[in-house]
Amino acid sequence: MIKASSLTKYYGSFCAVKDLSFTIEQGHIYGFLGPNGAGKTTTMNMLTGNLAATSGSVVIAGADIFKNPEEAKRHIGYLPEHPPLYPEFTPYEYLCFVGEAKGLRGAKLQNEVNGALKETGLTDVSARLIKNLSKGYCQRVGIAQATIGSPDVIILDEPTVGLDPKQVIQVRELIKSLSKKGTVILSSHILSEVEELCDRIMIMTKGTLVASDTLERLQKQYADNNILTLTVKCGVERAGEILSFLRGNAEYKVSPGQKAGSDIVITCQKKKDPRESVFFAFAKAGIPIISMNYKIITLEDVFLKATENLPKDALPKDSTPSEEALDTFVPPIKEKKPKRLRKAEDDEDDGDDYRPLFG
Amino acid sequence: MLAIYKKELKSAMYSMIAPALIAFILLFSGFFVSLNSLFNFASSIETSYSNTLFVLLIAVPVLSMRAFAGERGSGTYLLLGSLPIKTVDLLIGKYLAMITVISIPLFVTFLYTFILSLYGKVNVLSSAAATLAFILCGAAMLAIGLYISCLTDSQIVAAVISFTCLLAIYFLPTIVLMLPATAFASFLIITVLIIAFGLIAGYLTSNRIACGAVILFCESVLIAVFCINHEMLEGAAAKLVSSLSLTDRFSSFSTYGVFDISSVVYYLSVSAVFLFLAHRSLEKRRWS
Repeated sequence: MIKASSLTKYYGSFCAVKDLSFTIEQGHIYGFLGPNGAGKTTTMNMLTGNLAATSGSVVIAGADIFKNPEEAKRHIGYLPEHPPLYPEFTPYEYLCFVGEAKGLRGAKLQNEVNGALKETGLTDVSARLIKNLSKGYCQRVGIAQATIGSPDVIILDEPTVGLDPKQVIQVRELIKSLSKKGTVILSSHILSEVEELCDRIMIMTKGTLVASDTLERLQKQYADNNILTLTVKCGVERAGEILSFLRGNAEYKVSPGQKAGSDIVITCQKKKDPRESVFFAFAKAGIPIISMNYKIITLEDVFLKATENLPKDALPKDSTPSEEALDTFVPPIKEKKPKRLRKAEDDEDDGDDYRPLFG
Repeated sequence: MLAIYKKELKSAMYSMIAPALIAFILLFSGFFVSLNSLFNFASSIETSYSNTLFVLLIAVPVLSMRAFAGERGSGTYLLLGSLPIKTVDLLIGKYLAMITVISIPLFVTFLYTFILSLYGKVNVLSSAAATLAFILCGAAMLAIGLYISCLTDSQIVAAVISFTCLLAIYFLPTIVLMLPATAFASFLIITVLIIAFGLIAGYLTSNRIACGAVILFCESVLIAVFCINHEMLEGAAAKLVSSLSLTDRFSSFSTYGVFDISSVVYYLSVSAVFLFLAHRSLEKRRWS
């Protein structure tokens, strides 16, 4: 849908975006993360044709945004960080203007505008002046504007900033409903929001893309250790005896529980999952497990790790994402591969993340 | 382009800027028409146009400052930039909307001709020609204002710079007339103008060599003329400034009732040059 290749942007001598390459596939919600000044807005402005790149290209639905901007822009809807509204207009007039500018006329324009008003819940306020609307409604008008003309890709720059919790939920629901029709690129600082909405995550820092994949794969990639915490109904010594089979494979710490029993923390290497073997060991000894919690690394951890120290395996060779990084970005479509290859891949990357290693 | 034109016109009308300006122009044009034609028995409305022309000095900066500086200030330029519209269409749409706003009160003023015709013989054609020239003069000034609006992000800065430039255009011929008209004085004035023009061109193009070459070439022609036949330069500065002035050229329409084609061409040329510069400036911003 969108293919950016070697996108670079210099402001004078300052390099805002450096050799950025990625592919956006149809039908997903992409989360675009990065600390302030990472080059997210610059990238979005280049994707939407507001800014020309120093070098590199962006191709949207087959049209180059720098060489054939009018054609490329037909496929995108953009909501900048501050909704670009004309306060003296009503939402209806405003959406009509955007529709006309996108080349819609007559009945089609009316249908699109009324559809967008209905979809974003603005029908009741469509005749009020935008300057009299609350911030939540203004944000919705901004989103409605981006959806006019049913573009293939909708780009939203921090759409929930400054909204109250109820409005945030409403806007998120709206974004979810948009993704059913096409592709959404969402830039946000709110990690929980990205975690909730997005099925693909891109993390930028200092003008380069340091991670781009599904959340699950990033969690796997950035997890150092798996941590299993459990509470069992027996004494500390007895628990230690039962766990002794783990020695050499994992570290464990047993301490007296807050009320009764023992608390256990097991730390083992990533890719190793001790849950099953631990469960059977205690079951065999006839000791009930009160609780068991397997800690998976959060998006916050992934974000901090990706933006602070660039892991070697995340970046091939010259610390810029190239073909290899792009490959991991494509959704996991089950391609028909030679049997031997498929088996090797299955061994390498089990979709479920659950592999009994002991026992 | 039509979408932009409609939006700009609506926006100007809804935000009360256009109604206020229309009222402002109508107030002064009505005042001068009644003064000239009702009290001093001038037979045509174009004589009062030369008095009314100053309203453009205020109307043009107020209208043009919003065009791009305002859009950038409020962040709506990002929307315009992401819509499938050519920069040229964006520019022309906005420009035509602004011309429409100043044309409305001038057209109403033109209708006064028919009131005057009730009391005597009135040359409707010369009034129509003068009204058209008024609008073209305003259009040329709007193109300058539009260009200045492209250069900055602040509406106030755009308005102040536009106002200063238009004020200079309005008063420069008068100031130059007050200066001595000897050949040497003209030589000095034209030199100053050449250097100023060269520096502005150099600043805009960021090309020092071209700017130096233009200054050197013009200056050497001037020195040659001064050395060969310095009588030619007597009073030349005043003539040059007057012929370059947008407002001085208007007097042939307003004072003499003549439809001066060269002035019409001049107004259109100034508009075209500044629209071109504005277009370049918008494109440059995208690439810088």
